[in-house]
Amino acid sequence: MSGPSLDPSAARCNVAADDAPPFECRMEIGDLVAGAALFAFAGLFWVLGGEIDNGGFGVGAADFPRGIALLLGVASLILFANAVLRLARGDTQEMLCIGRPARVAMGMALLIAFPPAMSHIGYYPAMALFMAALLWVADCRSPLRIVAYVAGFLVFSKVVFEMILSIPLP
Amino acid sequence: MWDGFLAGLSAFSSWQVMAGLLGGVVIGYVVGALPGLSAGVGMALLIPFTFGLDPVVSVVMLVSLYMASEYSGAIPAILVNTPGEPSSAITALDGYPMRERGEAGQALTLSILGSAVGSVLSTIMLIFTVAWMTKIALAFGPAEYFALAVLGLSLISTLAGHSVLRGIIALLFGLLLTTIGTDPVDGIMRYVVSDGLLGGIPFVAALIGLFGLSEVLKMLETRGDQTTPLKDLPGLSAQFGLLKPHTGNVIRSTFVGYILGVIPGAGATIASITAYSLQKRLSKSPQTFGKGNPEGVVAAETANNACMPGALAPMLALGIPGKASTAVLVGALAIQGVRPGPLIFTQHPEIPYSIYIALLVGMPFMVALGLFGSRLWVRLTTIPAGVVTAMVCATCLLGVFSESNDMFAVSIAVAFGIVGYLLSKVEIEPAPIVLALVLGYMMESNFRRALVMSGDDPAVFYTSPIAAFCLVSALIVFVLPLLQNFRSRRSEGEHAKMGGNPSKV
Repeated sequence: MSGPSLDPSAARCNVAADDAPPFECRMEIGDLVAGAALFAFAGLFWVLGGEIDNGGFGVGAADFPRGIALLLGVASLILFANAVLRLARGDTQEMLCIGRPARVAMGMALLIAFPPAMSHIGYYPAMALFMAALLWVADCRSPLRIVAYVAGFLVFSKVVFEMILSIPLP
Repeated sequence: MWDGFLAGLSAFSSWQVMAGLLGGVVIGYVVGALPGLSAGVGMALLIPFTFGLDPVVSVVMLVSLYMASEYSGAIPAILVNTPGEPSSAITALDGYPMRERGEAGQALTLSILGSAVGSVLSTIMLIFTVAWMTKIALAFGPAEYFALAVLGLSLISTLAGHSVLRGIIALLFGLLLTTIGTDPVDGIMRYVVSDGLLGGIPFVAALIGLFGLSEVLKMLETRGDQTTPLKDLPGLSAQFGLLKPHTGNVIRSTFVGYILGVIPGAGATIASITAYSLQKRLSKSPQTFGKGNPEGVVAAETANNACMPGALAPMLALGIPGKASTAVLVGALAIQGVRPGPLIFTQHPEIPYSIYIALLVGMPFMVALGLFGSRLWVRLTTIPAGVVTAMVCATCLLGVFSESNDMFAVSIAVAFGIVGYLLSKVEIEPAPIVLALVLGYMMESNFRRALVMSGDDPAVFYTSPIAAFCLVSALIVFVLPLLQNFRSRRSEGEHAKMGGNPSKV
């Protein structure tokens, strides 16, 4: 029976063996998702571009973005098609890895929550909560250290940005 | 000329001028190192403090701030993959991998020495060629600017890593994003789903999101209680020796930076990418670019700092500010009753010559601060990764807000951070997106203006010698690596038939 240090997925994703297992899938699956998403993005710009007033003559306001959208659509289709071909051939061992996916998801959630929090409760409380939570997610578990780092950063914000640079923080 | 130099030198005998120079260097160092705060913002914030100062003190302080912030953007780029200035995004390509190998000190040393030599050589070129270079800058019309932007974009193959297709996708994605906002020619709104997008995607927010916040998410993938083992730096005198093997690179990058700096609007980012690309082509180990090759750090940093004296040429000789920072400088001089332009050399000779002397005299201070700093800043890498992650993230968010005073920009940075992270997972890197964000507006607006001015005659792009030269160069620069790539894939394919793996598209 193999021990944790021999976990091949942890080694591939550069994650410590005693940590949570990484998320893994074949790179072609990632290419399929990225190709489809970028194609949809290009399609959206192409369709919405049709509603833009193109002006009187020559290359109008809609022509440039629609031209770029067309090229991006073609390029993302090539990415998608290549991924399908390689999946069908099954000739690659390259993997897409996300180490500690739960931590990354928590980091994303914190980032998404920060702008509305800052709008509603102001910079200092929002940043204090955000930093404390992010430090915890990033493995800093000593409450004293968390308080010290957060206080230090808030003092830095106050002195450098508000007092020296005269940038008001809400 | 010598009378002007003497007037400038006599101004430097006053302690106020020297204090202004030192103050400007220190403030510039801090402003440039904070993501979100650019040289232009730092100078604008300093202007109210210069009202009561002598014009020479005021201009010396602002110019030394400008010079120092152009360099110090490299510090966060190397240490935490978050460029302090847009042009430092190119420095991060090799600087950050060097830091991951424990060579942060070497990368910081090379960046300050390259910056110093580039800036000094470029200042000397500025002194002797200011009038002549300005004539070249004046020859640039919409067709030439469009061709220059195309040349810049053709360098994509340098940034695309091992997959040109992914590089092109990143570039097109970035170009599409630049079309959001008010149309540059007719003023028509395009894809404006929120008032915050009227002026387009906020560039600094996008830059910080793509590099800084996406890096924060990458950092969360590994244990936060780990530190990077640090390789020892040589003694102070031996630190200077680190640049010696890069002499040719420094000279080439200085020329590139100075010439592109003179052209209004071209900017340090194009200079950095052009010098980086040129060095990659001339290097004996081009395959290590983007993986921590010191030549990449030297090329990018030398060029973006050599660009800065170049940008002063059209400002001094014609009164045309080529970029935001020089526009602020023109404003500061106007407040003091000094109008840049041809007459400045006869009416206020002490001003241009004080600028030249400030650039030359300020450099030793900056080098001293940089070399000392390189020993101090690298200690950051010995702090547990989790703490660095939180600090970088908080600084990025604060920097974005302070640059725009707008919560919408913070939301944009977060969106770019997450999208940049997800795209990097499928090896679509942020550097080509940033290149497109820098050049997209310039390309579209000048393309359409050139056609409007020529009555929709496309001949305007090949009848102008400068435009034709740039477009032909762009074609060569873009097609050659594709051909090389095609050949190497064919040979790899032949090897694969004998048991190897095919390369990525």
